[in-house]
Amino acid sequence: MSGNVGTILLSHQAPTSLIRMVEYWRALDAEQDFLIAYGGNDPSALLIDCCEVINIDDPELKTRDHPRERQSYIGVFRAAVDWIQRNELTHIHFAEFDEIPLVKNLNSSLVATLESEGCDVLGHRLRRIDQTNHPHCLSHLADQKFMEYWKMMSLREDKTVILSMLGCGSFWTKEAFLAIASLQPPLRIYLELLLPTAAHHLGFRVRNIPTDDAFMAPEVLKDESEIERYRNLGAWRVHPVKNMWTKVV
Amino acid sequence: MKELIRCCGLQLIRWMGSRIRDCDTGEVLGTAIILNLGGRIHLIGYAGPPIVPVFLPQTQVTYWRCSLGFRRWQEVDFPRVKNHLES
Repeated sequence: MSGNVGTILLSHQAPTSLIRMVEYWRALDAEQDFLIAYGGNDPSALLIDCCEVINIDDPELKTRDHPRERQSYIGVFRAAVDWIQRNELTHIHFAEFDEIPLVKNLNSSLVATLESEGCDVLGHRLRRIDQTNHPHCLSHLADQKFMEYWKMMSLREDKTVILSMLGCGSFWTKEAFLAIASLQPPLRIYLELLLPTAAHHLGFRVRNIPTDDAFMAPEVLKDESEIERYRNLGAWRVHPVKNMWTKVV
Repeated sequence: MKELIRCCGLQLIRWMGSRIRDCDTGEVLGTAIILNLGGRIHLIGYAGPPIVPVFLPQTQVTYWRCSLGFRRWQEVDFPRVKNHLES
């Protein structure tokens, strides 16, 4: 694998679950650095020693109705900058706790896809949504600052393009990730819009991950017992599997 | 309960709603009840991929009618542009 990949695991779960999660990821691919971005309320989670843990005490992350409250990952990205630079990472895999990798060396496949696509960001369910009925886009358009922001910061000729992608399972070059981390938008923008749209307008090439979109669909809850079936169907990973790390062993 | 009502509503719309087709490919993208209320067209219960409304081209000059259709954006495939990070 060319490059040095780090995986950020965003979780709010209990310390035992965090350890289980990292052990599982590491067993599939030991050649990566891990950072747990912890958004929970248990201080003992910050003391686990299986990998580095940072506390994300950010009201923009801790939302209940994520689209309506416009959940943002900017704070998580910003908090990870020091870890990325210290470990001299070249690529960042951004995963949520309920994303389960199914194949060995997932990051090698993602780096290969990134290189073959000649892009800077890979995401799931990437779509262009300006001028469409997409509810997240429509609700943001009601705020005049939304389009003004893209017009102000865009390096593109067409400053009206709005993209959407899933928040989990995105894969970034260091440059694209750090550029997003440095943003300070004047309004709160839902992460599924902000991440791909900002990367696009900053000049980065954003592409859809060609496989797995169906396996990552958030509206279809998956169970741990189905993992083998998904693996046989060719999935690289599945999402969301909520009970994977909380089961009592 | 709310989820159940939503699910039943969507099933009903799937059964009795109008088919929404991609005007370029003819592909059925979903179903919706289309209402004209207060001078606006409302799409109720559409759960397919994001669609862009477009007035459709006509082969003849027609003054009394025009049609509104829907299409999807093509897949996201914009080139990288030189930016401040590369300079």
